[in-house]
Amino acid sequence: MKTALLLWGTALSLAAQVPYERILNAAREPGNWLTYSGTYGAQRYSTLNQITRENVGRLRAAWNYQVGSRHKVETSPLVFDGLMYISEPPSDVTALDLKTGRPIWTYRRTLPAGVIACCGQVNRGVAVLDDQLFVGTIDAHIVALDLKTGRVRWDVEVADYKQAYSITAAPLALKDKIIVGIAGAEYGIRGFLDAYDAKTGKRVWRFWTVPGSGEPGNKTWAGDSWKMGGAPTWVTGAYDPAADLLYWGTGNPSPDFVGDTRAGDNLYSDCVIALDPDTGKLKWHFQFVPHDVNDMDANQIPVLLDAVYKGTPRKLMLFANRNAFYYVLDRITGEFLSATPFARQNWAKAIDARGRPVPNPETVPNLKGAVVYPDDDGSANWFSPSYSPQTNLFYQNVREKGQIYFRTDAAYESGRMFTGAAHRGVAGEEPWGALRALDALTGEKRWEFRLQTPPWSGVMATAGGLVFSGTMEGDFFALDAVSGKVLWRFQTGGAIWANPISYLSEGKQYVAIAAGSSLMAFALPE
Amino acid sequence: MPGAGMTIPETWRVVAYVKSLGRIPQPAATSGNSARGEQVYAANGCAGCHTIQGRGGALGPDLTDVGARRSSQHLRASVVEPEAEVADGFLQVRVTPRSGPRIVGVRVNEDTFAIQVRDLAGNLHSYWKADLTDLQKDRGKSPMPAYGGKLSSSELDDLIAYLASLEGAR
Repeated sequence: MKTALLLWGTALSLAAQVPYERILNAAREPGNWLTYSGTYGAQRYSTLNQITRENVGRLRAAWNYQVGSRHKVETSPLVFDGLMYISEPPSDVTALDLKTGRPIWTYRRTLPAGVIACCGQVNRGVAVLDDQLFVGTIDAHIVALDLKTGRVRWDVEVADYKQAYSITAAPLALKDKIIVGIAGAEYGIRGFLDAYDAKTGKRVWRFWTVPGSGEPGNKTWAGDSWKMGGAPTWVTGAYDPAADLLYWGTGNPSPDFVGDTRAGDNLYSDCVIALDPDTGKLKWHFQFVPHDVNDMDANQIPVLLDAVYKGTPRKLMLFANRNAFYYVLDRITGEFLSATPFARQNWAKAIDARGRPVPNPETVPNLKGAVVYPDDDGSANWFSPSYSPQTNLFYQNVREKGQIYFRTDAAYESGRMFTGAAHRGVAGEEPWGALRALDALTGEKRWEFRLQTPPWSGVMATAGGLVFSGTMEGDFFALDAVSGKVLWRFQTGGAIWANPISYLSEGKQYVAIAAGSSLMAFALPE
Repeated sequence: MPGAGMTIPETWRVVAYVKSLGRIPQPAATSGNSARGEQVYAANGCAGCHTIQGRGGALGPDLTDVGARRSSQHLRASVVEPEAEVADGFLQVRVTPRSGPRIVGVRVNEDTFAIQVRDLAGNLHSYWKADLTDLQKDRGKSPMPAYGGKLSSSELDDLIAYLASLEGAR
């Protein structure tokens, strides 16, 4: 018995290592889930195929772990070497035994009083590299934890939480660095994307998403408006190892709904940026909404796809934007290829041949009230889409909701709301949602599965021919990836604000998702 | 609750407005008699759908403290013409299951896959949407009859006086 325990202990300690090469080749170990979106290409597609169209109807709850937090649970788990690692809101981390769902260790962070977060003290997950886990905290620190014990290796301040900086996104482990995005554009922060040395916590580079005085792009901001210009980076990006480019979405300019004090395009707000991951130098950018006044954050997942596009093999980026358009870009050059509406919108009259919108002046917030589609929660948001190479479809949960925006004053004061509008719903309109399957290259809708209310759940396609997602009423469900037909559903009892993942435990496929204040795992019966 | 994103003067204007809400002038006491109004309430079967102090039906809103929440004018309008403003959470629906009778009632809950309905007799029904052939939502409709022509003027005054006296547990 003693020998067996010793062997088990040894095996675990040897296995509990996730060098960069494992993440780089994550597609080769589909039984694990090593980075936020599954792979650096961010397709959130599982090649596991034990759960199929034919047997998914028998899927059962295997275990349920209660998080016990009053905050929304938006975590996207990591799985490797027999354990699952989740963040618990606001900024805690727990390792769970895959077989039983029982906790092995928990890191509990003591937060200072007065942290400021616009939209809940949430956290979307952790990153792993070598023998450490990394979590960004709501008080804007990045913390490295020992993988085996959850004990703190280092804890570094990224920004001052008193100025309303916070971290909600899962970090991205890349080479020997940890890439960290920031939130706070409802309070007039100046956005950035950071890289930290994974071993020491020392900051290696910072890319300001709002350029400083004298830097290229600074003149796209009137006067000193850049100093509180927003452009946050609160959703995890993607990476192309062949091109060695790091891709990241940026959010709204501040103040969200008032543009007159910040005349100009307001770079690099509402962009996708491509950076050299070693230096943080900008390689290219594409701005979806220049001079945004509707809070059209481009904090979504850039999905990478190599495909024959109009007869030519190309390296593409697929981007279902909060602004209701599905973009296809060349991810090497940033060239705009197409934009197709995938939801109701009225803010743009058209998108021109270079990808620049022709804005509708009637959707600028005003004193009488401007009706805007989509509302400031967007057609898409942080929740992940999925691409399936089996169907060549892009699966996106879509929110169909407008609101009426009334302009108010927006005076900057450190740490205070800085948005410039009040809003209310459109009378007589019941917001709804849909999981839509889009042609990945054109964005044309192939089918939709209608949802009772606008969703906040991510989507995952699998090689079993399935698409998994959830609803705000607590339904976790599986659709046929080809037809959109419902094949399975389970009422979890809590609203789903999270992304699904899939993995193997003892050779058997599981699907997991956070729902309400719990994390649930599902498998086929024996 | 997030910060309101308002300037200080705007904040005070909102404060002044919210404070005014509790001081909506009540009309001169209605001419009705609330004791007689309680009899009108009982005689017309109101308790079949409404609850007071935990007693009654669940098809309509709880009236235990309706006098504290609504002005007499609002109460009168709701009794005379219920469809003038249907309370949130009481959507009238018509459900046709693949098998079994068609149901008219009030939606209790609904999600993407299922709906729960209380029929006009107060019975609860739960359906998978896949098992329905039709689901109609009658927005702005109410199963409550309009009592404008059913009650005499004095009965109506008495009923309103009774409802206005319901202020819940103090």
